[in-house]
Amino acid sequence: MQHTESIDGAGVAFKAAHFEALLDAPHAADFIEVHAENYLGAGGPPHAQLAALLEQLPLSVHGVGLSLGGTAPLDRAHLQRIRALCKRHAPTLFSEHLAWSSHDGAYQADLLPISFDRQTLRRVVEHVDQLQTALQRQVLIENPALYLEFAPLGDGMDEVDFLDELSQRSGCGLLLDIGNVLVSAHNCARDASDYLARFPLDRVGEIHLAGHSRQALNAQDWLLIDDHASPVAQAAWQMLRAVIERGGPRPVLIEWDRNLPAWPVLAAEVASARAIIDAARPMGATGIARA
Amino acid sequence: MNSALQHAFRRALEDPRAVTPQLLAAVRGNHPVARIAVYRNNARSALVSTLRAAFPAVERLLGEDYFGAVSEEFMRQCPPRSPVLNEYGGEFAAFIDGFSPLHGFPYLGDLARLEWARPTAFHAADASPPVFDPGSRAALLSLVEQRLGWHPSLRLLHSAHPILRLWQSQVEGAPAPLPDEWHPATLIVWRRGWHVEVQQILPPERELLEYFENPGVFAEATLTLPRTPAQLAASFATLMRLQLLIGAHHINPTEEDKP
Repeated sequence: MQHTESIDGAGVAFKAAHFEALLDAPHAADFIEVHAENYLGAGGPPHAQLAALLEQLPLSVHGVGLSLGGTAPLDRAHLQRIRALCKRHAPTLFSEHLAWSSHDGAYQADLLPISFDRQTLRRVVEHVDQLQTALQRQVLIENPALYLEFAPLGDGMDEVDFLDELSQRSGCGLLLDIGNVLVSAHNCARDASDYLARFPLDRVGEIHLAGHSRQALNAQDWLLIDDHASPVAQAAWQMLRAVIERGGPRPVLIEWDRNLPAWPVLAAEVASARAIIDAARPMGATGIARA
Repeated sequence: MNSALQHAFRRALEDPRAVTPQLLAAVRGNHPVARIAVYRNNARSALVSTLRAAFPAVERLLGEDYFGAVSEEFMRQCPPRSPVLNEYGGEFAAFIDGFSPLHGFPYLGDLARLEWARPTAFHAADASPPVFDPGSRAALLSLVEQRLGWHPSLRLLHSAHPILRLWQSQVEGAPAPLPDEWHPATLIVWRRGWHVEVQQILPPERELLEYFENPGVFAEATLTLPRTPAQLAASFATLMRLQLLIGAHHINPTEEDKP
């Protein structure tokens, strides 16, 4: 049976290297998330592994390549493949990014920054609308990790206002990536606490957490790089506590995509997220039943 | 953000010399060139990692640095058209064939073809081969009358070079082929169960396999192929034992599998 009704608790970005460990003890996580673009092949082990895990755990599918912030129309062929994937594995959640990656038919293999202004908002609303129509469901849109900010076209908008209005106008939910909040705040000289205080938590359907690293700009200054290659930073755990206390429990995903640790290390991160979520539940409630 | 700015940013990611004053003026904050370079490095390292993972034997033969440089040139000439990165690299073998600095290594293109056939087989559609039971006369009789075709993962590769031996020498630590072992070879790459397999195939099996490239019936093959019935039966048993053929009714993908 596939669990498609709801997602609750703490999940993990699934990697094939952890398949056996997760299959042996699936309830070390409450759900799994995979990148859509890694599962667009016709068959083979990736789909078989996913199907085996979905006997035990619900699924979230995370797109990284639709280029919703692009000035070009969405790639219809790619959208059709994403739709077929959703039909095949029936994920409970589907999310994508507030970013662009394709231009003039070439894919840039990174999540590139948009500017925050009315013209861009109109375009992203159209693209999110097109995506939700194609998938016949609500999607979640993730706040970006920024290494630079572009000057707006005309009157600028604040990123939180942009996401809030995108969500109101398109009907999409939001994916709050706390690591991205920290990275963008440092890199673009913003106040992360202020960003979180103004973030519309009632629109948030999922939270992401991941590690980041530093890259020097010169002897005094550095950028934070959202590389998903290390444990979640203490500052991010504190922010998660504050967000859950204020907004209530939400599904929380641990992303660790490079320099993969042994499964117990990752499982411990998932357990930490679960403890924070459970601590914020009303007395006696423990979320979904666990074996 | 308009199309002109996205175009300028994309050009700057592909070539550090293409950072224009207009692009820099659009970036807020200090160190704009270093900030743009983060995106460039992310994109490049994602693509080079993809190519390194797909072509480990070519990388071993060229060395890490030289492979990186060849990859850069490939990325410039053949950038990915789709965000599905496990499908990026299909043009790498042809690129190597045409890349003049590598003309002293005429086997490299075919080695890349062999490497590319592996992930292709890994992600190919699933299909269950028919039960092959040499002990059951009824099952065998039904099989020889059945319309059969290639498993969706199967690729047949011909090379003037011993590319399987070369591949094994780079990836599995086997000895490299000696000059007197430098023979042409025909290989099959396919997925049996969940495992990708590669092996050399001899002329009798190859002829029969080519017969089934367009789905056909073994009983009819025995009338057209220039081999004795005993030879053909032995070859057919080999193809069935290796699970290279499936029932032709499985060959057209279902609606769900179509892109």
